[in-house]
Amino acid sequence: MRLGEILRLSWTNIWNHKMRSLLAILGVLIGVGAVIAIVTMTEGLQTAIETTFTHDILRADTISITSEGGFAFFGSTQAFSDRDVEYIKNLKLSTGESPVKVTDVIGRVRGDVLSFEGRRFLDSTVRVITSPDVIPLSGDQKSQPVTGKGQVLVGVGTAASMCERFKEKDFGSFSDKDKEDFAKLAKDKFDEIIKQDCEHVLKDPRKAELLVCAYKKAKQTNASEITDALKKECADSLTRFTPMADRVRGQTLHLKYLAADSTIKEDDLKIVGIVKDTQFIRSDVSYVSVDYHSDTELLDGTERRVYTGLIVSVNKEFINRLKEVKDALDAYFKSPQADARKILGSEKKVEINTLDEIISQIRGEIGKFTAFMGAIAAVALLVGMIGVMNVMLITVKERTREIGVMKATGATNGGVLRLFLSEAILICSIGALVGVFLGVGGSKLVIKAMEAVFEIKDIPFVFVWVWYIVAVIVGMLVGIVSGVYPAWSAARVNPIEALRYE
Amino acid sequence: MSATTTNSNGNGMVVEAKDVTKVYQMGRVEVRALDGVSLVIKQSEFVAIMGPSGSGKSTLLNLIGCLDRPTTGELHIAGTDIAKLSDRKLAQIRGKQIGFVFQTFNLIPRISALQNVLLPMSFVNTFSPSERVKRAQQILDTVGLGQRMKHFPNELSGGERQRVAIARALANNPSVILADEPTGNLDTKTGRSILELFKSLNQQGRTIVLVTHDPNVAANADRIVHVMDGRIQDETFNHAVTVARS
Ligand SMILES: Nc1ncnc2c1ncn2[C@@H]1O[C@H](COP(=O)(O)OP(=O)(O)O)[C@@H](O)[C@H]1O
Ligand SMILES: [Mg+2]
Repeated sequence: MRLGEILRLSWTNIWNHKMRSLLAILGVLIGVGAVIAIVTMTEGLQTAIETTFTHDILRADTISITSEGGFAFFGSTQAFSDRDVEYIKNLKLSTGESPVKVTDVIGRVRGDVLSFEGRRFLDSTVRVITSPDVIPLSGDQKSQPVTGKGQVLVGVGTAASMCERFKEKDFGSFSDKDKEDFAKLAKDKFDEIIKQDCEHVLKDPRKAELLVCAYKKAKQTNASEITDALKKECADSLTRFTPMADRVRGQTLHLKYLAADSTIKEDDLKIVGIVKDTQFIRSDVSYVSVDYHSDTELLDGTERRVYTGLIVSVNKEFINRLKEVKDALDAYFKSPQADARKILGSEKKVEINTLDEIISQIRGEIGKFTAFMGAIAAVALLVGMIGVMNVMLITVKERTREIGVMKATGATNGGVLRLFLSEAILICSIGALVGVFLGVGGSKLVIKAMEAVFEIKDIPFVFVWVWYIVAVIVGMLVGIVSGVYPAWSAARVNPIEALRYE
Repeated sequence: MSATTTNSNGNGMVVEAKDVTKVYQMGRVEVRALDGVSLVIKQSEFVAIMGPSGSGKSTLLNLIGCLDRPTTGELHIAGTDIAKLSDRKLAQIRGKQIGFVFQTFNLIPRISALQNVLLPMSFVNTFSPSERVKRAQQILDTVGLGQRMKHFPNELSGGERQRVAIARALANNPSVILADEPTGNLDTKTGRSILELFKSLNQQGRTIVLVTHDPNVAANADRIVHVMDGRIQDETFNHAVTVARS
């Protein structure tokens, strides 16, 4: 029998048992779909995280130091004292060279509650920071690092929450005619703008804010310059938060926190800038200066400031010798001299990571996650396979007499085998193909959900072509594996007995 | 349309059985379905096999049809000893030289009459794919189902189904048609018309071996082979028919 004929006959058989075939297909579809969704998702997540690390947070010349159990440099134990910081700043290699340029610290503010105009920001947290490098300013030239008392840098999320309130007011002040004009402008000119250089700006609904601002600006100047003004706003991605920053800067936030002496303190903080949000510098985190607040611990009879993590930047000449620097740091934190050692005790270790290590660590974590999810998906696929096998066995049993007739009219054992095998493969291939499509679609939904739940932004959607092809091939293999026994038993049917079979 | 004569061997013998036995093992019990059968069937003969139920008629027909091999004895079909052939070779002989017709028609219900006739052609490469549909249509036409080709088996009457089955048996232009009680499930009138079809096929030169209970049906054959308890009890020649033919 030729392939075309085999496939046609198989399809007829599948089509004639729609419900049964559908269920078998569904089994495979769910398995393959799950695999594809997981792969697509984790690829996206991985890309997002790596991009963040390489572009936003750490540069190649930095080494992060945290206590074990914390994630990246957001370790939860405040274990590193200012004495540790001092030591590291003056770190000497065995050669006597001093590799460290700066040591920045990250710390917590305990019991922090932020509010604005009497309204509390429920999930906003406040951290202590010294590094302007770690938190790139939004490109808004007017933003400044926090320098001391009474100042705070806010994350975009917090800023947006504040803007919400302004927006309510602003929109209220637009006339209906203005609103109409605005809608029309958005409708007419958006395509044009998007085609230019600022797709990213308009994909985020929150950034529609920008349009409101731009529109207002344009109205103040000349109506004919509307598109130009908009274009200008969009063109420079660094300034995309400027309007928001303009709005927020200079406002006052109210902070309540637990001071070092365990009393609750309250303060009004002036916003000096807005912080670009990334996957790890979460948009609802605000930053204050070390001089303003930091927790302390009593060490060797002295109260010392403590931090959750350190970021060590090395001098350029040492970029290729990070391993040496790391070893020197390691030696220090293993010695009893280190305050971190005293605070952490013998159980928790100090983790010292270079950028490469952090990335591979994250890769490892994602790998574990993928493996776990993959195992679940594989089980789903296995169940699907058993389903197909079951359906095929029923089919063979039902069609025993037909097999007898086919053999009587000249079908060889091999011919019968191919016929049933192709039916199983066809079922599985359909399942796999549809599974790939649904998996891709499903992963888009899951990515959306993850973005919402974990407040991770801009997880890219990655097309993993190789996996789609692999999935279809695996689907076919599943078809072969699940179909081979039923097909073999069909081929073995004795025609005489089959013809006597009722 | 006429049967090819090249399929039989030189001496014109389509079937030569010598002392054939067939034993079925039913668990511990041995069933001797055939017990020393010797039979010769010539090219273009119309042979009827009669006998009580369980006497071994179907078994004999199935062996002639190469659906199985004899337990002992020699069985030559178109000159080849089938006892020595592989499953694959047997399947090829079935496909090319033999057409089966069954009591219960055994059509594949999910495909149309035309596709049922096309199926055996796809198992064997006697006819090229481009000829097949035309040929299947022609055959269905000659069995009187030219108007019913697109119908599915459950849309056809018993007689029509048996005609489709006969068309299917003719698909690869075999020289031998084996029919196991082909009129058993049909009323007398329909049965007669089916029998007429067999007779005309025989007149075209095809060898027909037909199992039946009905003496009236058997009376149409050149020769009647009586089977009893797995043996051939006797053979009667139907002179009226033979004379009429010669
Ligand atoms: N495949 C088989 N397995 C076991 N016994 C069989 C098989 N085929 C036929 N028989 C037995 O062989 C004998 C002859 O059967 P069969 O040739 O079908 O008789 P008939 O067609 O004359 O009614 C019966 O006793 C039947 O039960
Ligand atoms: Mg019988």
